[in-house]
Amino acid sequence: MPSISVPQNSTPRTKGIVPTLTNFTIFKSVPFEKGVVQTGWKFLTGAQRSPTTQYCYYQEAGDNPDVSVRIDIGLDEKIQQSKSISKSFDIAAAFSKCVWFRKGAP
Amino acid sequence: MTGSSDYGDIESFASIINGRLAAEARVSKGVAFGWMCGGWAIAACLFGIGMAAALYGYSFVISSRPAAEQIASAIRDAFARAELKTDVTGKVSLAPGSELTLAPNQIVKLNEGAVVRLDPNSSVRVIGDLKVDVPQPSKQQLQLDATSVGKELPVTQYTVFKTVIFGGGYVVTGWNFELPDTAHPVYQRCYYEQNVDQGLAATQTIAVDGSPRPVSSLAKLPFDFDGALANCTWFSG
Repeated sequence: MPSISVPQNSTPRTKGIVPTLTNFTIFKSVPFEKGVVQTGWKFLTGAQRSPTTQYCYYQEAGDNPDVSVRIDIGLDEKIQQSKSISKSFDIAAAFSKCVWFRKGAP
Repeated sequence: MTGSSDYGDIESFASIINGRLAAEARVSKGVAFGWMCGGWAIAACLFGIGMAAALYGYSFVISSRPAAEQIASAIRDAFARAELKTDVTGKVSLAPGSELTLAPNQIVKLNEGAVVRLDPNSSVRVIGDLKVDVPQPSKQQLQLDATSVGKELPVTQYTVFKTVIFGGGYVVTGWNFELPDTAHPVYQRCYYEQNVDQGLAATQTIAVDGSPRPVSSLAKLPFDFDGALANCTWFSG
């Protein structure tokens, strides 16, 4: 049975206090060729002023939506060269699409 | 005139006078008796009126009905003139299934800091805007004006990860939020992740938006699918 009651000793909730966000990643997506270049800024808490780590990858969806190709192209603002990447893939052009966190920004 | 005849005249004159005096005396007596009777009659009437008034007044004393009516009348008049001010406190309970309807333009307000407790089995339907305090990244963390080297403005999203240790790996649920509506995730994916080698991890999707994504029975999974599914952490608001 629904009931409404006002506790006698209830402590008023402080205005403006929101639960802290933890373990989240902000993604910046820029289209590139048939897919998209995604840069992830990984934060451990909502109070951090800059990300713990940043990574950038190229992702292209396949015919099956549950399957996609992912190529890592950058980590913490540095390009990741890999021998397993096809030479037809322009990793430098893809790396230029990465969006890195500006630490001095307000 | 002779002496005997003179005495006879005097005697008759005296008797006449005596007779007349006697007659006047009787008349006066009759008049006095009449006045006395009148006086007694008036006295008797006044006494009767007095007695009647006394008995009438006494009837109000010994009769309970007029007194009760008077008390009731007095109480009724007192209540009619009285201005009652009351403070009502306590707990109001509604019968199961009952509904409350507000009058037009009527507003229900809660005191600042008041807490509304609902029965765990009850449901609340809200019509209108509902603001929920869902935590979100700060503006400094989002950097909505950040661009790529080629000055391209990207699409910004963010994902909140909920990780549970399971078996030899982790069950991770990602809540994907899109701007500007950050009240609810647009997409949720739960997957099992296990490190295969240094810097190399394998993932298997378990469920999307609460719906399980079972794998083929031919595939042999290195983990308990149902057990992993039970460890997915879905957004609840």
